[in-house]
Amino acid sequence: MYKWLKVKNPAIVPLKDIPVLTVPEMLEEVVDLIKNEGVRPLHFAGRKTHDNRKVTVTIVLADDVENSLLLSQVVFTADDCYDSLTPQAPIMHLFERELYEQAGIIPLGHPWPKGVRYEHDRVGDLGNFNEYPYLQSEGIRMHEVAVGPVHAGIIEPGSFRFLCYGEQVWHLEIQLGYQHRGVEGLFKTGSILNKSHLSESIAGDTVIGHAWAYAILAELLTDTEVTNRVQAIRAIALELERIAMHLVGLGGIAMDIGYLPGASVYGRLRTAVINTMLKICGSRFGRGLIRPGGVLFDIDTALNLEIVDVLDVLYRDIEKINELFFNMPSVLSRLEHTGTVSKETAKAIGLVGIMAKMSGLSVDSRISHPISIYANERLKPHVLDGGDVFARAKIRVLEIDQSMRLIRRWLGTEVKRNELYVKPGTVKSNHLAVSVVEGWRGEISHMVITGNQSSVLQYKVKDPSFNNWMGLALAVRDNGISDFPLCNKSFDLSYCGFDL
Amino acid sequence: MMDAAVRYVLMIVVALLMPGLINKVKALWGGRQGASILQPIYDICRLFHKSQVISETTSPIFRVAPSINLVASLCAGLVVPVAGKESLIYFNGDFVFFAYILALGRFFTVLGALDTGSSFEGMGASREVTFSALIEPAFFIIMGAMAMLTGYTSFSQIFSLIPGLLQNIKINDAGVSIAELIRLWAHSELLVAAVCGNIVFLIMILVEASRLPVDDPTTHLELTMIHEVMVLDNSGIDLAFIQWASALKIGMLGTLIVALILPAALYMWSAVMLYLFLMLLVAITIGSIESVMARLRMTHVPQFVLGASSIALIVLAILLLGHKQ
Repeated sequence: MYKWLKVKNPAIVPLKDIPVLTVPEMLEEVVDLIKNEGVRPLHFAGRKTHDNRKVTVTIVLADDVENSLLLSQVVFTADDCYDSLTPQAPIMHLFERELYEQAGIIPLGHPWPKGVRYEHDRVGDLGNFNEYPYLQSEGIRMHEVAVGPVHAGIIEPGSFRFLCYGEQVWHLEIQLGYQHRGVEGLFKTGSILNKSHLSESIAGDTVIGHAWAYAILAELLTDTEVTNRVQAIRAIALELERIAMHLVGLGGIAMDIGYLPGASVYGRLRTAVINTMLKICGSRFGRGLIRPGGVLFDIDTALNLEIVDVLDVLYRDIEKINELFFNMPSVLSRLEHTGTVSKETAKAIGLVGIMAKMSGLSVDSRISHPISIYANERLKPHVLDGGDVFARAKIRVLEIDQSMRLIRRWLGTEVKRNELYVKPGTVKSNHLAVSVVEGWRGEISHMVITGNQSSVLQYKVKDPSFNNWMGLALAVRDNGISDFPLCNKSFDLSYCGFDL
Repeated sequence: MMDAAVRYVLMIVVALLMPGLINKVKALWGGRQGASILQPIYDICRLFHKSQVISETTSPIFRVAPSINLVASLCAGLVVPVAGKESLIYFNGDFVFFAYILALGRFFTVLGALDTGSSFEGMGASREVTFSALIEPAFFIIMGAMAMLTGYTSFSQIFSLIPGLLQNIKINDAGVSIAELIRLWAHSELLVAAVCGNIVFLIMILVEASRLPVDDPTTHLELTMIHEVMVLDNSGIDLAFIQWASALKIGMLGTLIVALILPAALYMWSAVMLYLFLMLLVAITIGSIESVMARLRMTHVPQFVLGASSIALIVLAILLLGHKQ
């Protein structure tokens, strides 16, 4: 395996150490790895090099069996093309479209070559946004239902087009890319060390996850070591975020099926959790807590006790509502066998996080690619095999339980006065750093490549929503169209996490 | 006549209060204080002052549909006996008039929805028509059974007889054996008719007024709604009419439930007080049903609605068998 550099998460390597594959080698290797060894792609990112005459594609794969990340790169001449990987490895479909859009390398024979985000500085042009080629259907009783792009609720813009046969959905086409925020481009401007606010804004509901993934990169690039105390506070915040968002998900599911007690109680519990975050760092969503070099707020003994109290109440109350919610026949009849994703499908399209776990895949980067404090915890992934809305609700309950236990354990360890913040030094030039953090939705991965004089050549963000939107599209097939809101809520994916 | 007119107005007022009461009950179940009981009335008043936005693709049908719907509901109310007395007008077979004048209103709502050309509203219309077609047999079977029982075919006469007859049934409380119980039930066809009639009317309210578990009036999810999705394009005074008509449906069907159990020949004031109390009970029942269960899956709604027809059939079967003996 000399063609791939094997590293542990998180990793920093000098650019010159990354092996360079030829194009045919890359095609063969990637397909082989993905097909045979249960490896998933994390990044497939191209950037212009050699005075814009070449495109260097950095490939990062996650090997869940060996608990390592595989790094390699391949150099294309600009506007080059290659035989698409997607027909053999469907998991690559969105990565290849993204590569085309961002770097202009054409995947020949890609079955579904459409734009991803329609970024303003896109290189490869896959058509106009206004003329998006929606799939179409014809026939008696066939009809198309378009929802969005301005959604009736207060959520973000996304266009959903249902191809329906009566009330039954045959296919759902999800088209995102309305926001044009240019997040990855913004990371390249100015110093990489003051991008905390940007990282916190990638997805407003995953502040801690993204901020941590970014902070790791900044720390790796500056050789900054953070103390165990810092790691513990970050981990507590990450798990609090997980609990809060899982409660949002459960409340939303209850709301969508019109089950009032669930909606009110889960909503109330969630408020208590995000208020705890407010007490820690002054923001209910955890903004301003994590900075490269440490954390800005400590959890002292008094706060420690308060968090324990909140967890006690949560533990007591959530058990009651779970008991009620998951035993109510009218609830179960809505949740069970709705929006099912099979294990094979989940694997083929590369679902991550809770959506992988609910369909029977054990994908959890806290376990396979643990950062810092998680390496010491012998976590067991909760895996369900239903793949339906019930499994998606149940996995949240199980994870809330797991997170509560983790937080209690970390709070219980003796507080040693460690330094909370170290000022990062200078940024290393010509390095690649990559980090993987398991956010509440699933695996978040950031990658940065620096050039000469600490400049940032490329910053790549992969939110779990990038992997999982396709799962939603497949989940609603053959379901009633009226079950779509329920499926959508149970996936609870991020629009802005996708529309970088 | 004057008396009946006052009662008619009373029913309209009570009907307007019903959605607010139901919402209050739901709020209390959810541990919230909830909006004022008068909120839906405020909303309707507010909508009267609002200007309208009318889609350019619609035809005049879209504009008249809400008015026709409201007028149809108001007309249907004319034959409903309120608080133990005859209705404003009554004639033989007026329950058929009641069912079909409501159907006329629905027909125009559906036309109005289809007129907008929106795919959501088309779906809503298709669902509305399906479910109301399924609930119709239940209504006619139960009313037919009651007509058989009492020998009359008008709401006012049927309902003035049934509660009165009910009072005459004396259940001997000294050790009721199962055989005796069956005998009692077989002979108290009225009791069965009244109980089953109430269940059927309650299911009718849930279907007609688009409440849980058939439809969810709170979450505005355009893909899952039935009734609400048909009126997405309506605004201003038209929307006020629609909300008023929807409240009227709850009020009228609730009044029918009450009519089944309200003892006849009470003094006017005690009858009215009892009527108000029983309507409150109806609101609490609907609110509680909405609070403790989840909405049915769309494919299961027909089963639930057909359940009403089966209950009505039970009554009919018992009556037919009873007459044979």
